[in-house]
Amino acid sequence: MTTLAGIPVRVVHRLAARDRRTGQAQRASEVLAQIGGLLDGLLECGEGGVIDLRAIEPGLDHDGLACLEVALGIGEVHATVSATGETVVRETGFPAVWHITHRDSSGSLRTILIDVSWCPEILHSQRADAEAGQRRLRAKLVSEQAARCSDGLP
Amino acid sequence: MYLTPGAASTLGERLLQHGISRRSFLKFCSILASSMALPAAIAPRMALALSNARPCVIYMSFQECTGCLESLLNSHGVAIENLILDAISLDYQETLQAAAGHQSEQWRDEVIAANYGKYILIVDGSIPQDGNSGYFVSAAESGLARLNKTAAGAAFIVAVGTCASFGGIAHAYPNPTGAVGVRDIVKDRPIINVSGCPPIAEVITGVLAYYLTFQKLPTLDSLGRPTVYYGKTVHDDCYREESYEDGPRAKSFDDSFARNGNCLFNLGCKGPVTHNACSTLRWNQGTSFPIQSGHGCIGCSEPDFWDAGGLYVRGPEADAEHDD
Repeated sequence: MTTLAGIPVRVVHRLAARDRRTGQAQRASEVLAQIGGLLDGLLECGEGGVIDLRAIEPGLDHDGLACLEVALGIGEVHATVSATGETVVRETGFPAVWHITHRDSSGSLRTILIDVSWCPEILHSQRADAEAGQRRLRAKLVSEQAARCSDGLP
Repeated sequence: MYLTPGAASTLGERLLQHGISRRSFLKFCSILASSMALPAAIAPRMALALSNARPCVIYMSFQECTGCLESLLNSHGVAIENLILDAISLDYQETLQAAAGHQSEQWRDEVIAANYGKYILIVDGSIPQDGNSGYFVSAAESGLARLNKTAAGAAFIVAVGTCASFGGIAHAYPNPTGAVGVRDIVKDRPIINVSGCPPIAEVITGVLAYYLTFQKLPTLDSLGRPTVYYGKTVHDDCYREESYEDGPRAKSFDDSFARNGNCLFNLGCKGPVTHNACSTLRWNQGTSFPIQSGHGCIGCSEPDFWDAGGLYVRGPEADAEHDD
């Protein structure tokens, strides 16, 4: 009698490269549709959203991410934030759809986000920082005024 | 981390003192949310909650090698994950603090009293279950008594490392000290087990950040470990996984197959039965992990791994087809 171990079943993990690329292009289209949904929400209700491209399931590999980037295109805004490593914020060809890449201080890529909003939070200045800046600026103006007075200048 | 007496300033204030801008912190929260599989849009809320947090942390060490503390501390460069560790108010830690003797004991008791029910207790090392055994005595108290006294007022406990989680190497046969993990002693406080020998520092950071943001514990598995970090095995996301099924596997250390990135299962790798985030988070800010360095997983985040058979003995679930 044939035992279970004798049944010639073999699990195949690898997809052909072409099938994998096709699958990734399809997945990128699905993510694009999801982005479209968030954009609808932003325009209708004022609520967009954020998609973590490295955390979605099923995921996007290098080919899939490239497909998505091509589909999104490039917009007018390109900003670099130097905050414990480089963060690059690009508006895509679809206004209010932002492509954000976070790298750490060693340059390692940490996460890739699609942020659907009027302006990504990381680009906003924070009130507390502005207030601290206001204090510094006032102190600087006072200091410069004092220096002009001591030089006999108006 | 630095020890500071007196009332703790907010975590946000401490970060600014360290020269970490609010944008850096928001970025950290985005990365942390991603690593914890939280919705990416939660980062601003997390940043706000953490900025206003005043975490009081007491760190107690028992039968330990200090490896877990080293894992927390020895991060090279400005690792964004360690911002929280740099900014928490660590009010008691025997290895790091300069104070000793009665003054340090009194200080700890004052911190406990002032923050009763609210402080986070971090524990590393195993504890002899018999308080009269004499195997761990500090300040004339048994480890058992010290743990019970400190745990009583903790909001929750983080058992860092496999020793504190499950007993670790001291618990290994024949367990001469009667060593056990925190959960075998403390039954009335929430406990998060961050197992590993040592655990990845970012896991500890993530656990603290999750609690400070949501004021609740993350989802835990049956062994009390956060599922976001311990829900998968090391094998699940291992880059050598393809050749586990299809071969060829490495036959000896550093042979051509090993150097080519093939599976190390035949060399004793316990990845298929070990739950941890080593394959994804990796170590030293994502630099590498044992399997990437050519050494199989030893299963260090699982209970009783020291007694689970030889580190270089192939596991029983090996496929005979690959005996080539």
